[in-house]
Amino acid sequence: MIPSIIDIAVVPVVIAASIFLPPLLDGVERKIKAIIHSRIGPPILQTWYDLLKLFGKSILAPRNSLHIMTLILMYAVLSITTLILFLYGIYCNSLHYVIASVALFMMIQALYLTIPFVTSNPFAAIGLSREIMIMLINEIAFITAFSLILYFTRGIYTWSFYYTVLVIVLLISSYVSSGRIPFDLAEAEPELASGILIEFSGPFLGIYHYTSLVKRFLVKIVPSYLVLSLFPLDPYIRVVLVIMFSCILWLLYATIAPLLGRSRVDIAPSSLLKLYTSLFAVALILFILGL
Amino acid sequence: MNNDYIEKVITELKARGASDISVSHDTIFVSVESDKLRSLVEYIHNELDCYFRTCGGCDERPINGFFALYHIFGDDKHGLNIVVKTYASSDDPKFPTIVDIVPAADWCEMEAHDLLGFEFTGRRQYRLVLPPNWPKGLYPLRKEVPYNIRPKPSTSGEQISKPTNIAAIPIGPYHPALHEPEYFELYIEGEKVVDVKYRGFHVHRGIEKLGETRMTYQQINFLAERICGICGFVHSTCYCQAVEKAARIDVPERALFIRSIVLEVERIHSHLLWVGVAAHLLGYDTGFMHTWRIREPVMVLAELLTGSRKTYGINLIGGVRRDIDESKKKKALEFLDIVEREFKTLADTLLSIPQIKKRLKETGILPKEDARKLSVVGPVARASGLDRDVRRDLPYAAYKYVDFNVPVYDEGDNMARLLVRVDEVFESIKILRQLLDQIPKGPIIAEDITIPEERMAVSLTEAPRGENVHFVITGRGKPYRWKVRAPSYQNIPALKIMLNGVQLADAPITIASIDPCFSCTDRILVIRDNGEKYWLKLTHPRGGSSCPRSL
Amino acid sequence: MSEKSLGKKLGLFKILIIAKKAGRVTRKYPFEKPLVTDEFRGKIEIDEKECIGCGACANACPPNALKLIKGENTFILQYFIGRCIYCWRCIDVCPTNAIKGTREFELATPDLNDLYESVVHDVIKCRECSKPIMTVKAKDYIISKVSVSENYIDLDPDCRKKHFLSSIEKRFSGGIE
Repeated sequence: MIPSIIDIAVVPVVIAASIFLPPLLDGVERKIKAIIHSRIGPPILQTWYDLLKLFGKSILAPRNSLHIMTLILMYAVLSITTLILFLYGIYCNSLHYVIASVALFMMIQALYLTIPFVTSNPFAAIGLSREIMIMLINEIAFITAFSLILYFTRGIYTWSFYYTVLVIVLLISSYVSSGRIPFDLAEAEPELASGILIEFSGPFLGIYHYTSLVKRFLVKIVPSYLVLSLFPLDPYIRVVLVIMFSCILWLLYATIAPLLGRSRVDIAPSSLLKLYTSLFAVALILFILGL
Repeated sequence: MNNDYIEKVITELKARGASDISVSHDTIFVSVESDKLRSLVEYIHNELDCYFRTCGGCDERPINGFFALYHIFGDDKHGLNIVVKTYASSDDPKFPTIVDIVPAADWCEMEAHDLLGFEFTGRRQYRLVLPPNWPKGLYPLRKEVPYNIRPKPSTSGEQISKPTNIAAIPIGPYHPALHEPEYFELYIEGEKVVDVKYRGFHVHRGIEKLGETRMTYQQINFLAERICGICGFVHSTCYCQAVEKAARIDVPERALFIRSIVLEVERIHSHLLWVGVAAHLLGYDTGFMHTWRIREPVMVLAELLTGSRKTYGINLIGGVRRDIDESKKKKALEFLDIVEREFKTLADTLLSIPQIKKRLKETGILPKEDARKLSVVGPVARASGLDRDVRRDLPYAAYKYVDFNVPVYDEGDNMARLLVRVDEVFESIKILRQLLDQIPKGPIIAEDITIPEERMAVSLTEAPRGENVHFVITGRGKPYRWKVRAPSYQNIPALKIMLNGVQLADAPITIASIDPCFSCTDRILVIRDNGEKYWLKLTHPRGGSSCPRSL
Repeated sequence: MSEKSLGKKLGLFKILIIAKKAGRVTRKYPFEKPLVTDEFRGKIEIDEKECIGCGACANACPPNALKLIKGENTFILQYFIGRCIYCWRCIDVCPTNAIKGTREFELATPDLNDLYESVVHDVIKCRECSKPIMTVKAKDYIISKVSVSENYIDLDPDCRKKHFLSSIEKRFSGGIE
């Protein structure tokens, strides 16, 4: 099949969006936060300036853990690849690409968990153990919900009640996964007991931060895709709309985060667990009832 | 305070060995031999139910050849202070300890031990306020030691922590979460804090020694103001009041009113600052930004009334230097309306955030009996059910002309401390309106004051953090002894109880809930060389006021 | 009652209304002028013509930012802005109102010497031992206030003491040396 001009043109659009959009959206988020704080915030491109400044610093690898450099690079490359793959899969409407993206996503999260353990710093491990408690519940919910939808619908998306409930689960878990208040326990820890970021500096911190932004974008694309696939759309319009919808979702989360306080490591997992189990139970019941 | 009660107290004290009794204003001065000290202290602390304010040593060898130790107790219900003096010989300064009767006396005794070389029999002694590598045998507050001495550091023998198999998290001395250098070691099991070790006093500046050697009476006002970056004016007022009490100077009424007005403005700004910091520590940065935005008109008001946003510099012994005219009064009332309206909305919003409610309730509890034993002061005491407020119990400046409520809560947790401070902001606005309405005409400073030598006075003020004690013995041209006890000094030992059993994530907010002002607390070391600051190893890299919160 | 609890539940969204009413309060300093009121205390300015070099300001200055440096032929009043705490005590005590306060506070400079300002005065010397006593202007000021001091103002305190003691001696010994 000879690819048309549009097929060829979509690829660079998708790649450019995946690479350049996440820090730009983060800049807009900071601006929104600043407006809620009634101040002028940093300019929208500020996150890019920060990242570029970090990349310009000298490389300082943590002692006793040269693997970190490999792991971080792997983490970064995999995340961007997953994003590009997923967006392209949306364009082609191919279930194989989507399932491959889910698998890759699980790999990325596993890498995210291993990297701080590889350093021999006990404080990084303490910070990570806090992060794990939330991630365990949240990521499993995310992946389960997504997989359930793919399994039940087999790639042909039709609306039903259980579909809505599972999309709600995805929305909530994408909010929690992005590490915003009230669940930014890992980022708050450097204030007190040092967390997962303390072993990184310079370019590695830049790469790590950039990848976390890419991951944030990725988790928001999932619910947008599932919602927009309910409508019959041309592939390129679908891709563009998915990207736009994810941006809107990001900005919505950005407005919610400054309104809340930070939760605590014993309160957050238990409340999340209760929420997810009840939602999953509702979804299963609805599915069995055929709704 | 009625004379019958004072007579009764004096008879009882005499029966227990007190001598040399004199009464001046609201203070009873007694002397006692060191062997009868403990029974007298027990009577005062337990039976008269007095709070322990502070104790200070004094090198009186040039006057009478002895070392003296002054214990200051306070009876808030009757508005009295009781100063108990003991002597020790100059070659062997030994005093009996009172720390088992009065646990609050722990730190002051060790301070006298470090700075004057007093030995306290019957307790474990350790170095508290001086750095570990300060040479032994050099006692800065003794009169023969010059204020600008630069001793060679000796080797340090201090052990910060014993190795245990409980995980220890060190916080400090320099840490992004802390505004001032202090060192906490939290021993945690899992996520709960089981023990706390605090080592402070990194920010000594030698203020007491400076006040006794290099500065004159009127210059010390400015020095006292810089003891703290947030509550500086209460220190300056307290010092002026102490000297005015000792020298029996009559301050004009208008000056008293102006002092009270500025004191209340300072209280509002300090509490708003604290509410913002508390919101930030709980992750609610929006509350932080908005609270400080509301605080801005208060700072502009302070600048309008006094000439500077923070270190006001309007206090002089005998009165104040700046006047308030009609236009300033009108502006002040406008600003107060704005602040009251906005803060009411913001406080309601702040208290409706679910995370804030969950994290503040039932954490960092200080039970009432422990609060009483440690003689905590200020909002910490009022949140644990102790009804103490110097403005009402021992009225000073113009507080006897206004009426206001003192908010008291019983729970003793972090939420109670927040609510006490929020209520106090509204009370301060009420007081300010009354003061601005009632301010009398007249001069603002007493001309031609003389300050005779060898008079003693104790003066108390209510800082935003609690009660502030200044003890002055006048000398010639400058004080002979000036002892400052800031409220955070009294409150920090209560942290050990408050942090017990708290989750690690709640430790910063618990520490912050006593509103610690470490600059107020650490002000007793000496080294200066022609006014330059010279710091030993563990110290603060900045010069100038060490409280970074002065804006 | 239900309205209040609803208000309580929606309480956290009220912050958006508060933020909208407040607008953006950031001040674009230094691209905008700073917000200082008329009452603000900035650095001081010493008028060299009015200053008599008496040293009252140096006595009153709490951080010793003002120093009267007594040399052999000149007294120099040195003002070091780096130490000044802008308390304006010097303005309070100056007998000739030679010091004025300004509202300047943007005084940072990379060169420390910019922060020193000096006023140099000529001195009068004792007619007996040639030690410098006080500045010429201070002498004129004192004479204008107390005209009889013209007779002994050019003696420094030690020589004045000696003169006084010798005149007492003369009186008690009946004029015989």
